[in-house]
Amino acid sequence: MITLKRESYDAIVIGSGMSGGWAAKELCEKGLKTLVLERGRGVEHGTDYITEHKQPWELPHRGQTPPALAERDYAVQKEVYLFDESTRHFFINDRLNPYKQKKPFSWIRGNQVGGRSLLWARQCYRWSDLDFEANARDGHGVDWPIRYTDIAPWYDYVESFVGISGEALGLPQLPDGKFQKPMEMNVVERHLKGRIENSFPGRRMTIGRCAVLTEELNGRAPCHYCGECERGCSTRSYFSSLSVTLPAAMATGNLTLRPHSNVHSIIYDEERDRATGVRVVDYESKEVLEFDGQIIFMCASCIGTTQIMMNSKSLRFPDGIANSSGALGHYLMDHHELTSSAVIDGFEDDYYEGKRPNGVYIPRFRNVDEQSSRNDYVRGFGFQAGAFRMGWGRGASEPGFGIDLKEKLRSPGPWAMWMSGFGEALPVFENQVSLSEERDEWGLPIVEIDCAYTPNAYAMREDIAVCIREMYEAAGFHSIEIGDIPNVVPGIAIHEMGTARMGRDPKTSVLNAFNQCHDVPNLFVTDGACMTSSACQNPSITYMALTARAVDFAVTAMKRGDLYS
Amino acid sequence: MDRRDALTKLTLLIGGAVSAPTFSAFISGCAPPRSQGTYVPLSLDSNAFRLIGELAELIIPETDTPGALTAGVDRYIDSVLTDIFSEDRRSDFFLGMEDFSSRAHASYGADLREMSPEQQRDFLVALEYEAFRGIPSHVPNAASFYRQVKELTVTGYYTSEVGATMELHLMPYGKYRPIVPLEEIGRAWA
Repeated sequence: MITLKRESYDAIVIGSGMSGGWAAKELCEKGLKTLVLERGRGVEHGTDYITEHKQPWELPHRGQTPPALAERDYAVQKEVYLFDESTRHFFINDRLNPYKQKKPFSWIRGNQVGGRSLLWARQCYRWSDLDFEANARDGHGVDWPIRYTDIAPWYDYVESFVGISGEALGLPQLPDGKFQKPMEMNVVERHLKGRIENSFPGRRMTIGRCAVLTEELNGRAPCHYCGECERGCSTRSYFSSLSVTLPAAMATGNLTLRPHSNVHSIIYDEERDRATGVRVVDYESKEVLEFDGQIIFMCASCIGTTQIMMNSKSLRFPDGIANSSGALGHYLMDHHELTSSAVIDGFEDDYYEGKRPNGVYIPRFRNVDEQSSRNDYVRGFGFQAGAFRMGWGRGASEPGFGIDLKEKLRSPGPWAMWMSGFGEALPVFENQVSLSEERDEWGLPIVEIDCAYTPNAYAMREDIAVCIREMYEAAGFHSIEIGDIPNVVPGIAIHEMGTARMGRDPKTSVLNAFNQCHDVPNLFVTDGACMTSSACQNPSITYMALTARAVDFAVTAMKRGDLYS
Repeated sequence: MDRRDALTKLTLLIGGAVSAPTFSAFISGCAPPRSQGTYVPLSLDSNAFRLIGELAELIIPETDTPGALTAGVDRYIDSVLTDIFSEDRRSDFFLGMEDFSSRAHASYGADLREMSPEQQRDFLVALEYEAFRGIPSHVPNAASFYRQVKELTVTGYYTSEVGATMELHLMPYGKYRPIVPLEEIGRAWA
């Protein structure tokens, strides 16, 4: 039995995560009555951070998820570094929310208000024209319809509100932002920085630029260094939509937030040639509801947005709304990561206090100019890293027992380091998301993902491994272990993007320079789906800047009457 | 080494003291501390439960701070066997335990607790050597059992309130000091 309820709003935002939170805040602050639809459950800031500041002995299994449960309900999510007993409730249940992998693809998903903004690693790096011009320069993918000057003021705008700590470097390939005072490096990180910058001209190392406050901002407290951001932060010291943008939207009185709203499709009116609303299947009751809106923002995550758009079929758009180009669902990208660890002798009298929720960063240094250009691959990579002293965990894997073992573990162990390269992936038509014949229990066609890295990525990974080794060796590290170069599954970097890309030509792209669908002027896409290339930087801050920019454009256009002319 | 192995390895290396943006996972475990009432083991019978406790206490004994037993490591290991181990791992664990007991009898004609402290020490030294330096056996044996118990003891002890607060130092909240003389802190962070 299908019941239909109708409610009307000025704007509808689909998704409440990183992009959706920003869309909601900006639309509400501009005076639009805004409905935010979130598939997942409702979560309250603070009270629902059920594991925040819990000590290991206070967790039922001291952090570990029973493997049988992980296997049954979190077969994909359990692969991600963050997944454990303290964060499990912020990950989707894979069994209840299936997708198909034509080739292995780890689709990491949140399923609650706030989405993955509750789980992100908080690293914020601006893109530069090296990135926005990349496709035009080497011919992979279509040209971005924007350049750095178009987005720079919007980076300023979102960064000032998000609160990003970091250090200005003046590098053309990694523009500086609006920074709070940087966090500091420990003794081994300082040592590595010195060795890298002396030994390798063109390479720099800096503290991570991260969305964790070092200074008070709009009533949000500076970080207290508990080091467990992903469990939730009741002091709002790190940025999430749940704790920062959604409350700002709510404060306007213009926000309606509806959890448990599984969006089935966008309603398209052939006569008016516009999107007029959204069809929802309630996640719990499975009741079908419809909501009308003047403007619709797609912020459901790259693949989620694509799924909804592809399922929005009409006479004009038989292959999904706003898909006259046929680009929708194609050009899926995710960064490829190569992890490593190493050990260094010395520095035994030095330690640190506090769990810094941030690492260090080595900005891209390959293919940034003539001198650094490679002939074995295009594009580049950056490194995240961090040094620490080994803890008691080493006792499990080394010989020794009794008083000797206890005495040894009473002191910290040697200094060790982790270092991960994050490489750019190219936009390739064959890497795609499609809808299968099968439907889930809400009646939505199940997504099928078909994605693999190109030879360019594997050539790059060989070089990443070389760089890791030479930097460790220059600084005197030993016991260097580097991850698997050929064996890398896309998705696991959780930077998926590209399946409704921006472009200059409506024949080859879905969105224009303002994230507006070429085909449907009142439909906007501002999550990872909009990205025309992947760069190698963590993408969230760019989604945020693009979202704020697109809302400004959309509301101006709406008020002028352009969206419906 | 794939990414997951790399991370698991890192997590092991890091133990509790994490400074990276991301690595906060602990490897294992559960169980209330010893002070909280009578405990009825779920996977271990009373003899096995006693053996595990004795072995754990030999691995991390009471010194100027409490040892594994006071920290409830025997309960922790029972709960890991119950909630975390698969059927196969559990049965391997018990096969190894059988070999452990037979070897104890073959070499010393006694159970672990009946041995003299010197005999206990010699026995564990031999098992340590086999477990950490020898060629790993394909079938569960006394050395694989010992190694498993040792891993669980270390994890269970240092993630317990006793281990984290009395033996090591619990990292306080509030500030980040990037460089601090170890002397000033004195012990490893939990």
